[in-house]
Amino acid sequence: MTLATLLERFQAAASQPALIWQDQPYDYGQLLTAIDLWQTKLSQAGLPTGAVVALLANYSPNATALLLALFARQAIVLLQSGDLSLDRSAQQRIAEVEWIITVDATDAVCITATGCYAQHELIGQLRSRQHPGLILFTSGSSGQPKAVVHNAMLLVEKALASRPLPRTLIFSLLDHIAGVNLLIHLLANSSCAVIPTALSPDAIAAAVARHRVQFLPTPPTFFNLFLLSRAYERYDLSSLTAASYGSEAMPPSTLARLHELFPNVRFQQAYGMTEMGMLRVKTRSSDSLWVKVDSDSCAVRVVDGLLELKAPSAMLGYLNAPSPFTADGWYKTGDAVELDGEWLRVLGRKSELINVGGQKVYPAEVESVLQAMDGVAEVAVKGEPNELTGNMVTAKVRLTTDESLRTFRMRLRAFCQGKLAPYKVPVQVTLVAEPLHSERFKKMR
Amino acid sequence: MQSADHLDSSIKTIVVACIEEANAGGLSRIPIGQGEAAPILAVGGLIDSFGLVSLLTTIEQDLAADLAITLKLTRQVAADLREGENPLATVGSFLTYIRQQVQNSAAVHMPQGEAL
Repeated sequence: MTLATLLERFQAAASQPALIWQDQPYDYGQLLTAIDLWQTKLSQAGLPTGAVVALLANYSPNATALLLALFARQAIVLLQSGDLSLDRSAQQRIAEVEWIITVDATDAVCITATGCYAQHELIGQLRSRQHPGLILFTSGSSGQPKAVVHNAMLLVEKALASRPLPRTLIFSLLDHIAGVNLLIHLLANSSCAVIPTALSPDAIAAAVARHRVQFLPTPPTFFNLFLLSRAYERYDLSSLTAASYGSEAMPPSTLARLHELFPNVRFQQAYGMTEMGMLRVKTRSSDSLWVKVDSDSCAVRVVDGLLELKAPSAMLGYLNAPSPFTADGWYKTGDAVELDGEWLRVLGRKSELINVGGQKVYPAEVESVLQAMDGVAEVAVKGEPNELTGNMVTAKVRLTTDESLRTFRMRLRAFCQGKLAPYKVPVQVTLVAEPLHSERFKKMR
Repeated sequence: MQSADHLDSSIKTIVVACIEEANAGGLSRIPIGQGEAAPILAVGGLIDSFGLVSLLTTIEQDLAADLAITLKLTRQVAADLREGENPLATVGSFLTYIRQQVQNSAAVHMPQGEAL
């Protein structure tokens, strides 16, 4: 029923662009045709309903059509996009993948069976409900990557009930919850997803200008590079009306600068995680880091300063780790938050908290101050053990200047006076030449 | 290879520069104008634990960068303070302490049979 509703919406919007890929539009009519075609081909290939399928693909017309055709066959889809740092085979073994479908850069497709038969209890649950599933791996920044299983039907249902988005550029890769969730959300509401040809500031700005993108969701790290590159001066970005940031804490200094440069763009925070999906949140104001979670779709509570969530769209569980839910169904996010009535502000991951002689330091707060210094391209702050204070604050900094370490260190300390408590000022500063973010623009501390 | 006098002088330059940097950054108020008699962790010196960690870490970093000398100064100082010793009473005692640590470090790394 849910997927039928989705396809009916495609039919109603047949002449409207669904995707812009490699700078070419693909309309909903073409997408419907491709979904039909792939349903037939999957059937001819002998792919049974409820199969566990690894879909190795980035965004493309065929990848999108295949994902939806697989959902229609109640497949449980492990999404794997082009990131060589992840061990694909290991992920496929954990997910007990039965079929592998590869979509290459030219959109050509290859389908193979692995001979494996999936027996995990969560897979069995989806099969018995005759629902499609989605398997995504966490980044592993706080331990081993975990295989998260979602009921894809719930993700589609949620998207169908969401408010429509304007023309949107998809920055996150397809195998990231923010990416696949946004794609489904856009398609469910007959919106247009613009797929950039690359993730550099100039490539993104060029895609916004060329395709008149209205909504730009990216991580804060990208916005920071975007400001440094001054790409906004080289392209007409007047089509932008809204932008969102998520996946890590936004430095207030970066947000203030964005707000100043783009006074007509509404900046809002996105909040979500692989385990819970993307939550509907309302941002207090365009220059604020305070958000309110939509209470109709997700219940919120704060225990010992840490955020806990309960939502129908939560994952079913992990394939390779025990359930993280409390006995009464709450998910412990591990995010430390500050409360102001029903508004909350994420301070950072509890696991990243630095305890300096009993005083708490969140890396994001220190990074935000250092990021505002002239000549600082990127900064990553973390704690290191220290015999005198238990831990100390350390900073890796990439500069745009050719200052010596000593000169920069003195400037940093002078700059931090009055802005950070003394125990928050980095004790050890290291200058680096390499980027401090991953290919996916995740900060590497 | 640097002479012992030159090495001593280079170490002193680094330590004094790091103290001046800590003072300028508001991490300490060590009366460096008093020369080697200036107190650090003693009456008349003013440095808290955060300032001390910062000073020791900075000296460690600059010794490594400028003189290719690797010392675990913070760890050693912490151990000595726990034993009731105070190598940071004055700038002079601290310099003597660092020179001793450098010699110990060199001795550890010296090939067997080679004279110091």
